[in-house]
Amino acid sequence: MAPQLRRLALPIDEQLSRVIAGFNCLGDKHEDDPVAENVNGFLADGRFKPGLEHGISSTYLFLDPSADPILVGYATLTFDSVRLTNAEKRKMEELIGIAEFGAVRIQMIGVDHRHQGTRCGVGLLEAITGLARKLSQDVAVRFLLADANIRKVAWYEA
Amino acid sequence: MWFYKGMLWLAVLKRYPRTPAMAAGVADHVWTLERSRRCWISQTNDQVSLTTRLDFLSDMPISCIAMAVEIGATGGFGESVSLHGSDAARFVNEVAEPSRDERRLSHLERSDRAYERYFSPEPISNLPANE
Repeated sequence: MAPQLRRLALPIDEQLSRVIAGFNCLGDKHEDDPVAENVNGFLADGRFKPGLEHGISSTYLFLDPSADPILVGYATLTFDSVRLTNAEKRKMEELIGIAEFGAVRIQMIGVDHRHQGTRCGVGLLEAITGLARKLSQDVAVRFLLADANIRKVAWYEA
Repeated sequence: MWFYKGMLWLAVLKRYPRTPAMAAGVADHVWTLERSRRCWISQTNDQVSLTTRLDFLSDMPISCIAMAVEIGATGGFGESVSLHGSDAARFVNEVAEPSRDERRLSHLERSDRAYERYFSPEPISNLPANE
């Protein structure tokens, strides 16, 4: 069975909750990385739930039923904006009255350390970009924002 | 009266900093992937995260993957990014006249394929069966 990118919906059953709690993107390489710890805890500690409960963010699981662990990675998406400076507004006169450009924000994205280095994360990031492009066909949105770990710049460049 | 207006302005600034890095007074930079595989980052402090802005859309001819690299951003929900100076000018140019950078377009093609391959519209609350 091929990997799947699936949006989480509440309530989450016990078995899937255990899988989520077992997510670990730290491994040995990222033990002292506070950004990676934040990304890990956001999913494993259930901090994604308020966003789902209040309908302000969506968390997607990247699952590979034939892999161990089955949970390869995850991403949490929300909407945001790129605010224009006054100089930018002046230069884009045809956009009178538009002070911000809508954007999709990758609030969190992480890959389990047992799947790191397998290009699964690249597939996840590309699928998320593809999802944003798909969304933009229905509601115009031109930017994808992400908070990147400065220690993982090469991954974003790939 | 000017005093109260000034205080109000300061309060607004304090309440609505455009980004944490702006509030802290550190710089933004544009990071362009087509320039080099090695990104350049002008780091102004020891913070470990940065904010990226990918112009990802669509069938428009797009010039490059430009990233607004904001050293010092703490990341997280609800922040917005902005650019200054020559970076802002380049952003304006890219919005108005996106080009057809090969690397960017191939990234977009791969993204569409990855979406088609992996995305499933049905939300889940339990584990999918390995069928």
